[in-house]
Amino acid sequence: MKSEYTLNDNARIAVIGGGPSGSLFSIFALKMAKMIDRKINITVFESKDFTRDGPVGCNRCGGVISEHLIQALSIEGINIPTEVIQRSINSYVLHTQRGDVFIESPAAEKRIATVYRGGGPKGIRIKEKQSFDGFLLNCAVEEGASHSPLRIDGIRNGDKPVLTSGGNDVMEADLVVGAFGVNSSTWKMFEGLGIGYKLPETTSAFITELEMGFESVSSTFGSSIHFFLVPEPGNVKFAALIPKGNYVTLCILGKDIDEKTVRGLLHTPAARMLLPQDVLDGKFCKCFPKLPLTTAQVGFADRIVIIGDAGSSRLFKDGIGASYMMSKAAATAALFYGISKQNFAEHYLPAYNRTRNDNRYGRFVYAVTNAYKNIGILTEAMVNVVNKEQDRRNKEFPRLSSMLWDTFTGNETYRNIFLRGTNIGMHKNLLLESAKALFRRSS
Amino acid sequence: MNESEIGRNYKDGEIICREGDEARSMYVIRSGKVDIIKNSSAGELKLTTLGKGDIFGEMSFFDHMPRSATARAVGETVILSIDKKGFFAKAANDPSIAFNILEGMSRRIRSLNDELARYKKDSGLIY
Ligand SMILES: Cc1cc2nc3c(=O)[nH]c(=O)nc-3n(C[C@H](O)[C@H](O)[C@H](O)COP(=O)(O)OP(=O)(O)OC[C@H]3O[C@@H](n4cnc5c(N)ncnc54)[C@H](O)[C@@H]3O)c2cc1C
Repeated sequence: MKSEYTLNDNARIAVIGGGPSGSLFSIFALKMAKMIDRKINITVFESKDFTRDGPVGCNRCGGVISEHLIQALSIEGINIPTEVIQRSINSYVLHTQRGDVFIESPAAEKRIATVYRGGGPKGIRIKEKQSFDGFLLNCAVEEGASHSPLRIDGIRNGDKPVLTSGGNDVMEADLVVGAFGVNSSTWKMFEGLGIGYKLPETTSAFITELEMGFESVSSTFGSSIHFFLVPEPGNVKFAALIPKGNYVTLCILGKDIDEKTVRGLLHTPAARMLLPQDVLDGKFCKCFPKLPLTTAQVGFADRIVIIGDAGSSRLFKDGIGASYMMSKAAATAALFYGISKQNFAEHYLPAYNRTRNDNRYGRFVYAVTNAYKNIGILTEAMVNVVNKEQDRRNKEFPRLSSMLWDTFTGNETYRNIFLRGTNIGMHKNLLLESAKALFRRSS
Repeated sequence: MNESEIGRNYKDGEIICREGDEARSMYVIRSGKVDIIKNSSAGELKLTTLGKGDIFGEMSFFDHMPRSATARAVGETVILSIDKKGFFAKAANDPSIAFNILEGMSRRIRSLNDELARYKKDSGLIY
């Protein structure tokens, strides 16, 4: 059935933003169009040059590509090449106020990758690797998309939306895909369209790159990401040291992170053991990218769909994985059903709401994690239970370890983590270890 | 194994999965080659050799039968495994995740059909 809201042959799609969600949308939309013998034209507007080092060439993030995303992309035929991967990861080390725990991937395989989104830290001397976002954008171009380096600065909503850049009309589109993230002012254009769109609430995070040299990173970090679940500095929710080539990325989530907070964290005993003195005392670059805390209000209208961080993302974890899911749902809706508000409500909104609802469980999971971070007896109990589970002689299912693994890697939905957490046996073990910790303290 | 390679390393001749085994994963070849082998009364029969980007072990995912063949690394090979439960959880929400696998399976059936036709012709079963 033909309707004015169908993507017919030679339909024109404008994708604003060539980060993961924009590129993935383009790849899947073009693949789907080929399946149904439709010829569509996609232009990805992305003004960043992902080969450049420093923030100008980078969509700043921790750069951890989750286990589930690596698997999903591989099944889809998108194999992230080694030229893009900085390090492969098979384990996490949790640093707590009561000791450290080592949690190995249940698959005993390196299925997590660390990457740079752009050309790497500012002033990087040896650029052996390529950008992740650049790789995905190239995949989109190979699939048939055009890349325009223009920055879109206006949209007029008439019969069909018209995009402008530098005061000129650049494209009348059958469909506009908003994949602009939460770190630009592009949201204002979409809020101004009168479609009811409202940017998600956001919070600022902190990222810096610590240069240690390749060998030193290899010998100190191996294939592990180090996660800090420590009560001090008090404004830190959690922090991670993520090994890359010559560098380690320090990523902090929390409130009002300033230099004092960063120094405070770097001088915790665990960080001091991992990082050389000159790195601890040296200068470091700073950036404060935003991440979404909620989902956007009204992520679509006739001929408009908003995806990725600017739409609906996962709380604190696996934002790129969420971009994959949202971009696919939007491409499926647009190609197989249509581009009206109704089409998106029926075929895109369910995926959008799935993420939003899952984040509710996420908030609960993080509240519990926070209690285990701050209350010493609980921390000790958690450390002891996980250490016992990780002992290879123990044949029981490592329930708590797997929950922590899935929470920190973003490998599972928060709902499934929550449901796994209702196991009575695990709580009995935790209670027993808490009682032991209490006893040790009082004696 | 290279610090920036994901998956698991297999040495030349190492078995990745064995005919008759229960299947919990399918596999994607990141680098190297893999022989797919079937054991018969006449001995070992090599069905095909797969290379970078190819997916194997997916049949048991869908027909819930034990592995139909053995997969063996040819030279140094890196393989990424895909969990069964995770795959079906994703497919439940997004069936299109299986499109690429279906494409691969269709290609394989097509080439099997060609081979079968050749075999029948050569053995005089069809004229
Ligand atoms: C501190 C921090 C750490 C994180 N760590 C991780 C992690 O380890 N793993 C993970 O999976 N996720 C992580 N995330 C989340 C991840 O960064 C996002 O979920 C992901 O980048 C969202 O992709 P996107 O394409 O929606 O948006 P973005 O990546 O923000 O891309 C938007 C793109 O749109 C372009 N753009 C915007 N406006 C315009 C315009 N008007 N014209 C043209 N182009 C435009 C921008 O240049 C940009 O390239 C982290 C986030 C933060 C803040």
